[in-house]
Amino acid sequence: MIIKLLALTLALVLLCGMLAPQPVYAQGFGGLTAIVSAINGVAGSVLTFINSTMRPLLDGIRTAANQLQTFLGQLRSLWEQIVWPLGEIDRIRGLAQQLISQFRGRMNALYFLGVNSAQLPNPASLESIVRNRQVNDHAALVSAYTRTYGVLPAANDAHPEERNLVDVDDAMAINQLMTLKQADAGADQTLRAAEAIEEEATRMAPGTAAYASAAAYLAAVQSQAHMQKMIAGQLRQEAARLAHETMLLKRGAAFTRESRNKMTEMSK
Amino acid sequence: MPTLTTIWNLLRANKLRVIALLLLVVLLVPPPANAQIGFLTTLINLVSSGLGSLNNVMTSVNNALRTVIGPILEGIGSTMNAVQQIMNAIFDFQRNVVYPEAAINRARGLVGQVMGIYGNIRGIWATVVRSATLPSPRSLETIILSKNPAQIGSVGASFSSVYTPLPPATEAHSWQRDLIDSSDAASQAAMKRAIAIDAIADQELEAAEQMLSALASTAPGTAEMIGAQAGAWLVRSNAYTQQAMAELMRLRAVELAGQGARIKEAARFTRQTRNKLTELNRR
Repeated sequence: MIIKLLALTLALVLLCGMLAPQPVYAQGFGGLTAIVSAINGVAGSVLTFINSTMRPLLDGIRTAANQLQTFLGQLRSLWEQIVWPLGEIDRIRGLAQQLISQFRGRMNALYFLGVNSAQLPNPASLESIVRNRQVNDHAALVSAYTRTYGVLPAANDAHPEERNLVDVDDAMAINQLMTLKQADAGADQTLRAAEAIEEEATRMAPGTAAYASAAAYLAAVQSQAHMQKMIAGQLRQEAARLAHETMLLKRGAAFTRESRNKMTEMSK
Repeated sequence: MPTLTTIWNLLRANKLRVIALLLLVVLLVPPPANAQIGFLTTLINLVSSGLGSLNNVMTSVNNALRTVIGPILEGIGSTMNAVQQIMNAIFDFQRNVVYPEAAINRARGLVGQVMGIYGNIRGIWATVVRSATLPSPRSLETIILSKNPAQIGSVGASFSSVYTPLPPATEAHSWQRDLIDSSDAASQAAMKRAIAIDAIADQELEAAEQMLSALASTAPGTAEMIGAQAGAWLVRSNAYTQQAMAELMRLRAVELAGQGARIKEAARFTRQTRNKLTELNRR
């Protein structure tokens, strides 16, 4: 009986041993596999990123860099061969030099051509002063003018209105002559400015030509202003001349009225 | 030996029990922890496999970087080197040919020179020109040379004190009064315009001086902007010159009209005289 019980027990134990689950061998190996798999996954993602994202991106950058190189090359060619060719720059500087050589002397000779024509001492003196391009000899001009054209009549030699007329006529004439002396002196200086700009044109760089052209424009503005001053002087002179003629008309009317009154008195 | 014989006999006598005990021990004793040797082997296999796999992937990445990305980057690097060379050439060209510093300084010096010259011219035109000696002419001269537009209102009275006023209707024929008034008006207008033109010219000179000052210190790239402003001022200045010329031409037109009017009046006077003489002859 005991033996049978023992054999049954052993059989149950054996059955349990066969049916019981196998050991899991703990968690250590499973985690490691997962990590390795994750690393593989990341590496695979990196590879995918390189091929599908980075490569097209870099291709795009390479294309853009090539285009930039082409563009800059064309820009360089444009500047060096079309816009500012060295040969052309030298040619323009040469042109400036040639214009100076060809025209400056000739133009100056014409500009400074003497045109004095008076023969007698007083007119010659006046003419000399009028054309001397000086502006600090107003008194000498007045003196030479009165020696040539006479002095203002004394108060007892002329009617006050006539004296006023003579005085204002002389003043306008002298002022205009003085204005012309200023204009001559100013023109000399203006020529100096023009020559300075011309000289600069013989050695200027393309990028600095704007300075010279702006300076030339501004010089032209100032020259226009001086021409306006001359025209203003001419206006004053012409106005005085017209006023003079009109005053003669007024005096003629007054003379006619006075004569008529006197004739009427005589006929009475 | 007797001891071994004893043990052997004992085992043989209880062989079933012994077998059962061994089976029980085998089943109940905890399964072996596979000791450390089996674990390590498995671990090594796993790590080795993982590293092998990782190595393959990294080799693929490396190959991709070498064969795909490397040439592209080399190409970009080479292109960028070429770009840099072109840029250097462009900068050198700009620096040495288009905008050399020495030329910029020389151009600024030129502007300073022009400023100096026009400063001299300004001094020339600032010379006082006064030549009248009698009170009335001197007053008129002072007003019309004043360059002060506020003085324009004083021109009429001063003009009349020198050139006498318009005769009253009782002292002159109506045509004479018209002619005198028209001529005097043109003369006074011209004198007033002369004052305004002088003032305008002074303003232009001041503006030009300001622009020259700015030009002397401006950058090469902005000099053209001042040039454009100067160009606009030149156009403006031409307009003022045209206005002055128009005033001068108007004055001459009035003068010419006055001369014609006198001839007409002389003809009318001749005709009236002839008529009166004819009437006298008839009597």
